[in-house]
Amino acid sequence: MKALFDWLDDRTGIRKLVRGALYEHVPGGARWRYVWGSTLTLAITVQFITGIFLWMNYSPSAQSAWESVYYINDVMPGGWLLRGIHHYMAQLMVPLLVLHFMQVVIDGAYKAPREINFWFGLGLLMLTLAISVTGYLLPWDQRGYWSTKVVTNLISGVPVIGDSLQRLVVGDANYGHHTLTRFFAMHAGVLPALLVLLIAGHVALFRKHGLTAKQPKKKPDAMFWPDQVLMDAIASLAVIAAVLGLVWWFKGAELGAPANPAEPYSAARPDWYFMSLFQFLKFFEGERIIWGSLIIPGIIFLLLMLMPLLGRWRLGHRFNLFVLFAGLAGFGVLTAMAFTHDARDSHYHAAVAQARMDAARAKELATSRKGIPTEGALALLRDDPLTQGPRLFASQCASCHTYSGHDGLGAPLPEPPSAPDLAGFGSRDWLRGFMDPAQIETLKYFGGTVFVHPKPGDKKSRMVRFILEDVAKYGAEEKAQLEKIILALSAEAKLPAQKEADLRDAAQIEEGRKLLKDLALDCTDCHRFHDVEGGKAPDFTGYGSHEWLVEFTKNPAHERFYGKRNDRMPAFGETSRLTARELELLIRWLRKE
Amino acid sequence: MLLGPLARPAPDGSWVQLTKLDGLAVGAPPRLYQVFIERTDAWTRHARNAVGSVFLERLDAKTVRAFQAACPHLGCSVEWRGDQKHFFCPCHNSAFSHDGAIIPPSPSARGLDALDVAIHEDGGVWVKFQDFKAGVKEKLPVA
Repeated sequence: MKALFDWLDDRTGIRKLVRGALYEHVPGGARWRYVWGSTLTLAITVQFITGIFLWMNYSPSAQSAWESVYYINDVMPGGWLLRGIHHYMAQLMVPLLVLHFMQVVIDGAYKAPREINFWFGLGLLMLTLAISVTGYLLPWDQRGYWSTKVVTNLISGVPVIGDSLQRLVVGDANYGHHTLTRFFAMHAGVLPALLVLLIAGHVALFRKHGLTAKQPKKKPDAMFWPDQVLMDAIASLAVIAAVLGLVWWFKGAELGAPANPAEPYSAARPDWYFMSLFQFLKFFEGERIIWGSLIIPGIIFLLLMLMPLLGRWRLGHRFNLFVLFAGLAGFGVLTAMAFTHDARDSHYHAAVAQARMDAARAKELATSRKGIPTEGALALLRDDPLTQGPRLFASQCASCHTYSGHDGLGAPLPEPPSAPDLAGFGSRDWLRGFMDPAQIETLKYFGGTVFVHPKPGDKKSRMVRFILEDVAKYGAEEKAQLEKIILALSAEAKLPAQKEADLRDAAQIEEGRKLLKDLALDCTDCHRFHDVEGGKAPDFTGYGSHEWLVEFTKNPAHERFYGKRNDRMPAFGETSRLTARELELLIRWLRKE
Repeated sequence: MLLGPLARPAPDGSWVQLTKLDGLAVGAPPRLYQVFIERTDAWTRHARNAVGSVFLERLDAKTVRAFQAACPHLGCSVEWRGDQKHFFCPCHNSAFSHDGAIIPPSPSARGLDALDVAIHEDGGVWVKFQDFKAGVKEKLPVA
């Protein structure tokens, strides 16, 4: 073994190198407060290694970025862990940088002759933040897309060159392939290269000037090895443990739904360490925005740059300490304000819940046998009833109807509904509730309609009167008949969720059909049912089925449905309020197909 | 390579049909329409590329008002809040009245950006979709 080392040392001089690294002079002995630089070196090393593995699997284009990150995250064995480590290490680097910075300022380690190294450090801080910003967009999910749009719009606010700068960063007038290729080149190429150069300079200058000891020294001077190495190793292990803990706790890094410029994203927020700046921007009205985006952050940065020069005087050092703690307090207060505001905002909660649902649905569709098509995962959501149905319902139906009491997307209606709640329309439970004298007049059914509240002088509709007067008096036998009729009518809908129940109860359903055809309980006095003619009330043939609902929504005033008695419901198919495709998506969602 | 994007011509807006007149009821709240345009994104030719969204509202028999949904402050998408009858940006809390004007105190420098609307003979509602520079008082098309 020794022979091997001798040979290696002879060819490379490695012993001297290792000795030089380990026998760095530590005035005042090892201390925990010196560990942050080492933890940051570890963090950056981890980012380089995980970053390169991510790179091997990432594809920066508008139709493949989300898709490849989804693949890394949800398909590739261990990919969630890889991406999780990269993500949470980036999160942790910010507090590590702050701690490192605090140690340097508090201990006065920035003073002459270490000015340049302090500036290198500030450069490294800025580079790390720039790497974070560019990395945020790369998954090309809704969160990254909309948050980064704010950043590039802020860039356009730079005086004189702002517009050109924005165009250069975005790569085009609109976001697209070149936004990703450019951000990726910065994130994985240009910025890390600059980072390596600055770190080399930072470490070289640190070695040149040596460590600035915290005064007063408590212990005799020592070497880096072994005590400080042990402390650094323990701190590094703690960082690794914290990152793995976060990855495990959050089950990897979040991936939102694929970026969609046409789909507003109300949950857009930057990463937590930019929430203070995000909050700060709310305070500047109109064109004063530049104070919040450039001038004040610029002044703060300038104050940091000036620290080594001011630090020559005792008062200057105190001023620097004031700047440090005031800055940290400002950061803390603004961050807390931003999070408190969001925590109290029900709209924000709804937006986050919606974003999570969309993300989960996108992944579910991508994982399904259909898989991701060539045009990208966005197409999956665009043609998905579960995604589009509630949105169409909210925009087109929820001015009158509710769905489980809300507008389809979970928000309450601004005014009480004037038409039935459509969740479970055509199902057994829905029909049982409808036929219940205690429920028909509630807002869940006809409570908001003219059938219950007719014009002055008119009577309630025949159906409502029938339920209130006849059904209310039903004895056991009639109730049993009604239940069979409900089963038969509900079976007409052929609801996927009721398929098994309909098969199981085939005999009762057949009895119910027969009852309907035999004019039992007078249903078919008014309602048509297959070959039984009926009257002017909505057709029971295929009631609630896909075809029935499509035709009904196209024109509820058709004589097959409500005819002249239609209460305010527009003919969606005869106008352009819903396209055929939208109608299809809406009905498929309503029926849970 | 690096400066290539600067050489590309500035976009001049695209006329797109979003609906027909009978798709918008007078008195109904503003409805959000997604906008797809024919566009070449670097090497990919898209017949329908999603580029943004627009609020349409029918004011009377012949008039439709269109607002770019991108907030003039920093580009997030504003929402229509039916309970308060105003537009609201969920990012930095700019609020805009029903007719798009700023409701102070809002960080946005200007009201919502109205878009040109043309009603064709067949009832088609066409909108000139454009992006405008964020954060400034003046409504300037993105160059």
